[in-house]
Amino acid sequence: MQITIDIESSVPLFAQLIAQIKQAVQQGNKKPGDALPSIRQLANDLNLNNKTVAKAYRLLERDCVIQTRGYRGTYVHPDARENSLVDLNELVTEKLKSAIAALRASGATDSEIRVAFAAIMSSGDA
Amino acid sequence: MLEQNLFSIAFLSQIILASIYIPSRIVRRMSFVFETYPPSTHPLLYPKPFDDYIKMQQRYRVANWVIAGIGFSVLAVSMFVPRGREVMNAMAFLFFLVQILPLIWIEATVRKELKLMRSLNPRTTRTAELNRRKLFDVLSPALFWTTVAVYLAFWVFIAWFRQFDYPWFGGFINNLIITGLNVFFASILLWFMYGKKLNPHQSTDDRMRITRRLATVMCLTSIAVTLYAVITIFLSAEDARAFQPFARSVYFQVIILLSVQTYRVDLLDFDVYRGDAQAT
Repeated sequence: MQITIDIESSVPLFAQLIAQIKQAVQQGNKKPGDALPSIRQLANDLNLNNKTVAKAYRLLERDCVIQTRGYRGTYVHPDARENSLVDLNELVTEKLKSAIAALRASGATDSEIRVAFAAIMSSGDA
Repeated sequence: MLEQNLFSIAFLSQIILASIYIPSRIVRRMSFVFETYPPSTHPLLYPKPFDDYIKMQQRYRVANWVIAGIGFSVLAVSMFVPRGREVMNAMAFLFFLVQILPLIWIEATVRKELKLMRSLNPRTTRTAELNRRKLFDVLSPALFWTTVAVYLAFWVFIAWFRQFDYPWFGGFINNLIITGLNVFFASILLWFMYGKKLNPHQSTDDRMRITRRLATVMCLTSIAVTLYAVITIFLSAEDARAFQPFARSVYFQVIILLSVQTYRVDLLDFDVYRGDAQAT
């Protein structure tokens, strides 16, 4: 089972990794409990920065597509197949769209929405 | 006298093997690659002008002929002057160092080529296996455990040998040397298994094939070095040190024979160097 990334694609490298690992899980090429390469191995094979692969693995772990078992390495999560169908980016986009639509309907300007959004994100209150 | 004659035969064999026979095989392999995979069909294999590779091959051939000439001269001179054990030991060792210089030069040149290949790589896609590589993917468990057993047996041997209290015996320093060598081999193997891919066109299968071969060679070399250490200690204990130069020359020949086992052209997939090849 191989994955391919395009370094000149407009899609970020970590996002390409996530998409391909999820695809491998959905197609059954990677089954629950299968071992995945270490961050260093994958980064060196693809000639990427370790941090890029680590970021992809972190997000996949958050989505319960993979799980890290300490020093034993990284494995495919038992519920990876179902979890790989959930797209959090899509959820975030949908929620934000409806929130922005509601704010505009109540009279808030785009610049007010932007300033408030940036303030909330930077304060960490949300 | 017997030991001197034996050493002369071993030294002659060392010259022929490491400076004539093995280089001629490597030159033949180079010619095979140049003829079978020329720049017209495999442009990615030659990041520099093709003439540079022909010159490199010629330089390698000439360097080995010169070294063989030096070896024959040293052997001829040594036949007519009295030779002590230390002189013969030094002859075998220093000449071995000279003999491996062309191999080191070739290795360094290949590294430079790979660097150039990476900088000129036109492909924007990169591919990797989504499987974790494990030690036993590249090494047979039988060979691995044999190597470990030989290493542990060497500790037992040294511990047993210490009771005889020979003044020349280094004791556990021998273990430290063998341990250092094994750590060095293990680091190289780990680097081959998990390190950065130096050849941007190399397929995963090729990489695994080369790593498997390297792992086998390293285990065999580790066993050979350990056995050589045991033989040297025994020769000293049996007051047969005069045979040490002979043993040393034979040992160097074994090492050089093992080390060139990684140069196997027939194992490689050259289709990846075609101009229209897909990313690997």
